[in-house]
Amino acid sequence: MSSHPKGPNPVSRRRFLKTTVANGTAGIAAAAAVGLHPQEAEAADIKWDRTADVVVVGAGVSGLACACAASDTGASVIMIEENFDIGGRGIMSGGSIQLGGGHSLQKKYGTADSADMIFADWTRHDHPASRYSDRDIVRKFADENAATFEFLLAHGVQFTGREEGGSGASTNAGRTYQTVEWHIPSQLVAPHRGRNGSGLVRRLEESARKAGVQILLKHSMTKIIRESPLSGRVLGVTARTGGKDINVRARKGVYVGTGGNCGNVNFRRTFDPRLTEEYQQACAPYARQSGDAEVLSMAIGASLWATAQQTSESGAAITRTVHIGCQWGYGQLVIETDSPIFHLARATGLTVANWQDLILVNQTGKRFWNELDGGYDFIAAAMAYSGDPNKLNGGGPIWAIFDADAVVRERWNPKPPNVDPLYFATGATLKELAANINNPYQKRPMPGAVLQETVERYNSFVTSGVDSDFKKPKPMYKVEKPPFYAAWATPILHDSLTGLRVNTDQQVIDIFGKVIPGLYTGGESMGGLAQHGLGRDLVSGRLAGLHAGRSSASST
Amino acid sequence: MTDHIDRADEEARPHPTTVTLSRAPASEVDAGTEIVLKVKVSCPHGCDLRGRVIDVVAPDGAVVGSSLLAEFTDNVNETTGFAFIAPEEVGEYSWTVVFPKDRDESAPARVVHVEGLHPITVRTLAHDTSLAVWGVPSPIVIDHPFRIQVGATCSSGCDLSGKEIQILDEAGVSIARAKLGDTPWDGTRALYWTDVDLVAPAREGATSRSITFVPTELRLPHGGASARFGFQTVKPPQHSVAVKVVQKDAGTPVEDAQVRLGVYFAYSDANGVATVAMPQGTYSLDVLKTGFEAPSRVVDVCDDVTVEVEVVVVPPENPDAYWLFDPTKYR
Repeated sequence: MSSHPKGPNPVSRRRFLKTTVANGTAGIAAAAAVGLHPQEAEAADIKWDRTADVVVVGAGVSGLACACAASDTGASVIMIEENFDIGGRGIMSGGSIQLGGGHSLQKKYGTADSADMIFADWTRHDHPASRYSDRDIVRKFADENAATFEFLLAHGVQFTGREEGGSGASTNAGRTYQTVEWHIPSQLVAPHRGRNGSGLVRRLEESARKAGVQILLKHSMTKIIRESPLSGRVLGVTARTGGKDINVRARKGVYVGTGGNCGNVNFRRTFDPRLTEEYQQACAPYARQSGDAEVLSMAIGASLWATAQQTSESGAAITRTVHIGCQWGYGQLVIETDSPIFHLARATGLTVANWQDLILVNQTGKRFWNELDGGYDFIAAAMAYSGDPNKLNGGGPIWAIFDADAVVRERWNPKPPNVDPLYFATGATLKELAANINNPYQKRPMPGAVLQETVERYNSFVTSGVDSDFKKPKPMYKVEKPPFYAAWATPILHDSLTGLRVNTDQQVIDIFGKVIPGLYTGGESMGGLAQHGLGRDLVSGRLAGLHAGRSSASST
Repeated sequence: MTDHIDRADEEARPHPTTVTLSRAPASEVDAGTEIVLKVKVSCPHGCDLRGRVIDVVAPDGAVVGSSLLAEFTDNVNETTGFAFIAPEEVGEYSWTVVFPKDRDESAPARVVHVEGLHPITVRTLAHDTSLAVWGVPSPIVIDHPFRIQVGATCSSGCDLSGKEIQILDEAGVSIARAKLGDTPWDGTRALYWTDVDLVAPAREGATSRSITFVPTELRLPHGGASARFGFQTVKPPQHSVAVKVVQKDAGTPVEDAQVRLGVYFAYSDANGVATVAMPQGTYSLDVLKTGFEAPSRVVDVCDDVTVEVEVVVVPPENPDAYWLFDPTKYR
């Protein structure tokens, strides 16, 4: 491409770097003397603390698959994980894996499926989840489904039995299989809630460790080291641990799989400017969805891809929270008090059985939509401008308002540890309730008089049987009996449905359409296939590991 | 590190001090309630001033609050949080936080710390009051008596027992008065409440009422409060409508379903039956219960009647629905 910046002669540069690293005497001045960019010179001066053939950043589902696959090729592997334990979002997942294509379990149960059927599912034009797919990526994904399932079996992953139900966007072929929950309770993050993904990640971890994969916990990637800022090979990464930086060299490749970007406010707003800081993300506070893979890869020239998938308004990119009164109330994710991260989650939340039991108001104390609707129209209304001239983007906190009768109907115990005082308030009257909301995202006090007026009006709808404002079907219960409650019910983010551009070997592509040698990604850090969850993660991680493991080692 | 050790033979030397607030008081507080603050005192020489007292001084020189410097971190001294009581009158008040001129008797150089000052200003407000009204029945037969509960509370939790609330009609005419009881409503700090007996108006339709609360004879100033409530008034009943709610196919009764006939409500009992007394007419019948569904229907009421409604079980939402999406329902 003509616009691609041309660096110095690659042969001479490589020879230079090889020589200088070998001698250990290279300096910036010497580098400048042969025409190297100063940062290239820095690369030449790097002191490597550790070295492996393949360096995998992120010990989640895709990273573990990558590590196991790379190890299968005979490559040495170092994994870097910022958390205190492995698993990423996968350890909190239900463990349902979308993999088909005619694998052995499908054959055992007589389930008809094929790679072509998978391809058809994920390229159909009449569904927003697949409309924007990169069909090259989908084709490879489809072709590698069955092999990836066999790969899991070979690495000890156990499944509960036959498929649970259909999946995919058109054929609805049965290809959702559930892993067996990990058998050691103390090694679960979300116990008692059927988070069978623990069985997937722990088995892969077990297999990886047996194969000699080193897993460096509490190491955060801060930089991807490339020969020069926008050209040359990726040489390794810098990771911060214990207040110090270490450089980890990758002879064959670096895989960055940091689990998506929903937790990175600045980055996620690339796709949707409404997603300001008040929107929390599923799997926090265990996994950050930091966007580190995306941001640090883009810093060395990587491109995003298929970004329309993030805002296609299908699937679980952002959802209504199910558990209220806690900071993170996504779907099936409940952090019980015996979880090792309960001290971070702080509350289990109150699970809503019937949305007739409450009303939802925005930060100004006004209703904004029919509470029985949890779809994207509801989400859009929740994120609408709420009238704060100092906060034009994002809708601010959403609060569930209910009364003592609702507590009885729902059989809630609205006290810690079920609720988090920062995300929950109570009051003898509605005005007192509004005054008692003390939340870091509630930037202006909720006007008590407005909340009172909102509830009085809603109660009149219950009396008449008609919601004149938002057409909530047959509003059933007044909000009238003290004490009153306000519980955090702000929509919560889940899936990162787009990310870095890759080719069919999971190599990251730069902004000029060229492969960045030595850099791979997958899982929720990649773009091109907006499938929720584990199937995409496993296939992409495995493909990256195989390609990186089989590639030639860097000479630098 | 102080420098007085190295020059111990000097005469007493002044050390300037700087007083800041690590926790500023709220700019507005209820009259007669606590003003909470936390104070930092620093000396450019990094002197450890723990044990010294800071005062909050009124313009007339009166000390209204004091606290010890209890912490010393990074060469800065700090009190714990402490409070003094705001004036009982509404207005804007100023005080000065004073680190008094002090002499370090323990130091050989007889270091003297210069007085440090920091002004604070707080506005005191009349206590806010607010109301709740609950137990309002609906519908109510015209001209029939009914009872509601009304409670009032103060933003600072003042005792409001014995204070009067008033009910006004839509024209603003007082139609009832009641005095708040002396025991706060269960689960609240200070919601003083009372039953209020009322009579429905003589006309059908939606009716609203307002409540006013103007507290008097309280030691501290309080603002008033108002609230509204509504109900439907209906003609006297003529017929009894029994709605029996059963689960489709199983035929088993469904308890605690909300049965709505227009503006009428009732809940099904253990036999699945909800009975509503109502005048002749045509009504929309809806049966609502979590986990069940039944279509709306229209019922003509011209006699006592029993209606059976079959409800179907709605399967609980699949927790992993996003994995198993049905393309026709996925959006």
